[in-house]
Amino acid sequence: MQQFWVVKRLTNYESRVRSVFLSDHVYQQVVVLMPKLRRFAYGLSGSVENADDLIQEACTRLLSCMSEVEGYLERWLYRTIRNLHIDQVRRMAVKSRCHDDLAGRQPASTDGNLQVESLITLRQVRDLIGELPEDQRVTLLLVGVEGYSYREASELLGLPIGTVTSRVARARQKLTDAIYPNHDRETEDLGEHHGSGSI
Amino acid sequence: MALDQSERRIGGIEASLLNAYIDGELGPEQASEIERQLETDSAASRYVRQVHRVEGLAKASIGQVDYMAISRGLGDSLEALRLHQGSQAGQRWWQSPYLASAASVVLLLVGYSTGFLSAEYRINQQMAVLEAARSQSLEEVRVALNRVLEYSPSGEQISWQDETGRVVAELSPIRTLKSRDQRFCREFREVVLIDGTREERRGLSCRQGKEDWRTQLILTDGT
Repeated sequence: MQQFWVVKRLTNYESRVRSVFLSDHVYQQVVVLMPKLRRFAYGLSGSVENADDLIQEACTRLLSCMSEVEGYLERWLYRTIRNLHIDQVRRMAVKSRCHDDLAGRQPASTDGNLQVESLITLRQVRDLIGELPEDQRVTLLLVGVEGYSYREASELLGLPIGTVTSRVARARQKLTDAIYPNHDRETEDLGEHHGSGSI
Repeated sequence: MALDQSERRIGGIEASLLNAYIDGELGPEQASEIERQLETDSAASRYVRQVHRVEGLAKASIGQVDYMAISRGLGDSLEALRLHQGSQAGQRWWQSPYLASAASVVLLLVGYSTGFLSAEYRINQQMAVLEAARSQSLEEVRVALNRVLEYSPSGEQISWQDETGRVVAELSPIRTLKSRDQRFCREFREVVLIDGTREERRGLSCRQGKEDWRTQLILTDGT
């Protein structure tokens, strides 16, 4: 019996030391990752408030399972944020049907005319990303916006690399089709108009 | 690397291969081969340009969140994570003796967009002039903050003022963090008194080069 207590006390001590070490480690990692996580959550949810809510919920869950995510923190955070967002979207879908398919649609905010590429705003691009199917949007945000490699993105999302590459390709095709509906035209001046963007 | 063998092609190049080229996923030989094809394949080269433009805009658009302070709730969650450290448990870091004894101060405005955007609302020349002076002052504060982040230990509080004495700032590195790619980042607090207005901000800034720090996260922001 005494041995049992010794073992238990040692185990508790080890757990406490481990917890102290890990939390420091985890806090640092979370803070340093936070800009990326916020951009990711913002790109997913479309609003700063929703983005912060998603990350806050992820951080709250992290508190209760800190030791289990050692070595997997980054992917755990990304997946948790993605899953929380998907749960949220599904709940909302009960009330109003979610439109996922961008193909064949013109953005409502542009009077159906995005052919004047020079007038496109930062907001319109973000709206278009928001209209991508969830799986494509998640992948595009990681690869196209954050610059993760295909391998890193596949590890973060738990997907085969081939799936990542095809999702990136489909997402880009939809975006370029929406912004450049006339593929026969050269459109060199879009990049010159960042200044006209709006939040 | 293994690529998705999609049938779809852009111009004469398989779509997945072209995207892998855009993302720098190909080896030098494969990349050179694609570049050679792009010289004569107008549809594929147009697609590459379009993707770069669209994603440049996407980065700029989504990156705007960097300049927006995190919510109070998220700040509290981060703090709860930090307090797990135990050694400092029970004391919120902004209530530490260093900061509690600090004179109220300053600001900042992480420069870039906010200053520019606010200028849009100025309706007369006088205000525009004042705004220009303010932007310059804030830029000076930003330079001062860069130096503080570069050279001052955490917990130290540095007072700064411009030549006219119109702008006063109190700059404090709070702690130093290291990212997985071994970049240094520092949490900081800055209080700026400018023309009688007090602005306070806590944030995270990461080192880009010598005396070159970029604010990547605003933890609190207010007057």
